[in-house]
Amino acid sequence: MLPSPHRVLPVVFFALGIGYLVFALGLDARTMPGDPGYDPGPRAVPILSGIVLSAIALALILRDTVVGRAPAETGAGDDAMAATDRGVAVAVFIHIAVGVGFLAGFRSLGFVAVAAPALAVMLLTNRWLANRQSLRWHWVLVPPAASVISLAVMAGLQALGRLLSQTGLVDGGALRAAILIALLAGATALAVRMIGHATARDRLSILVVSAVAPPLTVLVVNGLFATRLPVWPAFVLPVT
Amino acid sequence: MDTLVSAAGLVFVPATLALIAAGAILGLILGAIPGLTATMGVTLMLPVSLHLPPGAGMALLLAVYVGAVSGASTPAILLGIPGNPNAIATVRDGHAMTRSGRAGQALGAAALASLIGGLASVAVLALFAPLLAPVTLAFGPADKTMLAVLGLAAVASISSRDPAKGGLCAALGIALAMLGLDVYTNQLRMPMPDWVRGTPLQTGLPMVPLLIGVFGISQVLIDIDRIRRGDLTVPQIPRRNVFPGLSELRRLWRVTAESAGIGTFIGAIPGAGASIAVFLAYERARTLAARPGSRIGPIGDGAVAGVFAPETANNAVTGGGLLPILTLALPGDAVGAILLGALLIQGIVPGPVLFTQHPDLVLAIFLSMALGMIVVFVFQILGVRLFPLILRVPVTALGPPVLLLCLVGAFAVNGQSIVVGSFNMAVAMGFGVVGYLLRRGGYPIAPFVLGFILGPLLEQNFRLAIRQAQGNALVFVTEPIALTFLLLALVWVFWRPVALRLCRPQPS
Repeated sequence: MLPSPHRVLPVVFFALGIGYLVFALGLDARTMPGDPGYDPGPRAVPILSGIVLSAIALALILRDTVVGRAPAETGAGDDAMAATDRGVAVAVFIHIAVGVGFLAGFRSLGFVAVAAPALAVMLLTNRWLANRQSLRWHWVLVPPAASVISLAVMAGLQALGRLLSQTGLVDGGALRAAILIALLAGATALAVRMIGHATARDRLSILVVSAVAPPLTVLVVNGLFATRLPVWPAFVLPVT
Repeated sequence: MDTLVSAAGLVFVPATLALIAAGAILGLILGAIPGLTATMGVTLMLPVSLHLPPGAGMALLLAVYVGAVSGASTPAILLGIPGNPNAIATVRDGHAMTRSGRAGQALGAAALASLIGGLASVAVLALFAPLLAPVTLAFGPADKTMLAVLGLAAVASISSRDPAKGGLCAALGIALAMLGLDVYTNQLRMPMPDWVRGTPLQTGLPMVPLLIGVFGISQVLIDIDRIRRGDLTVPQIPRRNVFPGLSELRRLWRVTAESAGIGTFIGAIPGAGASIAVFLAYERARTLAARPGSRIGPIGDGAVAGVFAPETANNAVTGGGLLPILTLALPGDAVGAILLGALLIQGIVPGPVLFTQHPDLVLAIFLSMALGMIVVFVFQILGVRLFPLILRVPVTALGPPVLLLCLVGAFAVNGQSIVVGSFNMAVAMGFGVVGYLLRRGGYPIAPFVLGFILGPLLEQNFRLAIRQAQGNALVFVTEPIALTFLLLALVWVFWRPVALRLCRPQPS
């Protein structure tokens, strides 16, 4: 049985509030420049917020344990859901783990190589959750396959862009933009189409979506933002 | 006149118009998908808006906002599932109309009502905001401190059934906002300062990744629960006769006017929000319909008025909600907090100075909002048969790409180095989990975010007020404006539990 956040969170908040209060009390009592001694200093608001945080958390703990009010009376029903289904809990855990794994591998392995298997794992998890079918051994091949295909698509797109610009087919920014837009539109249409089919039924769709979406994201983000997403693994092209 | 020309020059350029169109479509799509909210849409577009000039960036965010508010009526009408809480009151009559084969008319009525309500609220906003803004010149630091307290108290007490949880979240938001460098003394307020110095954590927690985490990623995690409910069946929509007739519109004029008034007024009250406005408007329409001799007809079994009233009100909330943001820097809900954050990040401080120094930007915001509403209306009508198809996209396929987009959005916030980008992604992921746990425990997100955004403003004004009063902490109760705000905050906090207790049915 999973512990209910409704019961656990007030205790966590109380501990957090006390810890924060200790931290705030430990701050230097400096005042702003030129102040003749009236500035309450950088500790004042942190101490106040720490007191409020721990006091309310304590009140919630006392109310829930000593008075024993029902969750419905204490606002647990506003956003809170019923007790977590084990499958849902597993799926949430996998999503969080994939997110953390993505963060861990992002810089060294590059966006495309990590995003594709991350997408595939999450889509497969959702497929499993929706249908509750038993897992097949060959599912494990989908994430690495998505990664390889995604890198190949990215390389293909970059090679195509380089070829077009070197052969003089692309003359001027407008034409380049038009080609990029056409490419994007076509790929987006494909992705949308495949997303529509990426239900519990179609393993191939999951593979295609996972493989196509990351290169598309790179095209859009690197075209729109000043920051460049690292595309290739660091051992191929070092990430700066 | 020069201001108008200058504002038009900011809005009526191809790039901004394209952004408004793109934002409107995105908003409509997000609004139409149950579970994906206006807040999430605006959050996702926040990093993009930061790369644009302030006028264009705000135009994009506002277009997504109004699009999502309007789009929420689609699933409410077709499936009986509101896209977000703004459309809760639309379900009853809207879905009844669908069941009786009038889905197209219900969608058309919702689109028209959204346009009318939205434009009416923008007109009120444009009329009253310049009048209200100079009043805030009379506010000193003590008044501004208590104004922030009032905003937090209002949002904390209304956003959850339990005001204590709202207050706790607001305090948590303020506490986290205090981390980083103190603006007055340059002191590093962070545990293990020697370790933190020189890292991205030195400047505190970044606002945009935090918003992306608590609104975007937490929503993806919450939506996992919906996967088990299966796919939905969407009815076919006829393209003809999507609007109510002129005679019907004439009968509805009073419902429309009052709903627009209710929506604008409620939207301007911090913390009240659209879900209150739609029910008030719906109930008012029912009262009007029940009067002897009323030509509106009974509401509740598939009446156009039952769609018109809530849809007019929820779009009127969007304009009304901007009033306290632009004049007092006081957001009324989560989207308002993000819009305020977007302005502050761009270096634009709402208040009287904004109206005197950047009148063209203010006017451009009004214009782009009105234009966004018109564009949303056009797309709603053109896509009356298309947008319902969005509902067929399986839930299983939505979450993972959105989660990835959230992380990419956090990475690309300011075009910074890969180290800062990675740090931002970690903050987004971490606060996604925090937001998920908060929501699972029934803790409201809006006060947390509002506390985080208003925390620095509150602290600066708090310290300035006490310094100006030469150390007298009673300044907050001796200044009449500050005292008024404090009393209002106390009323807000204590009135609601008392009212709930009084209204609770007694056991027989």
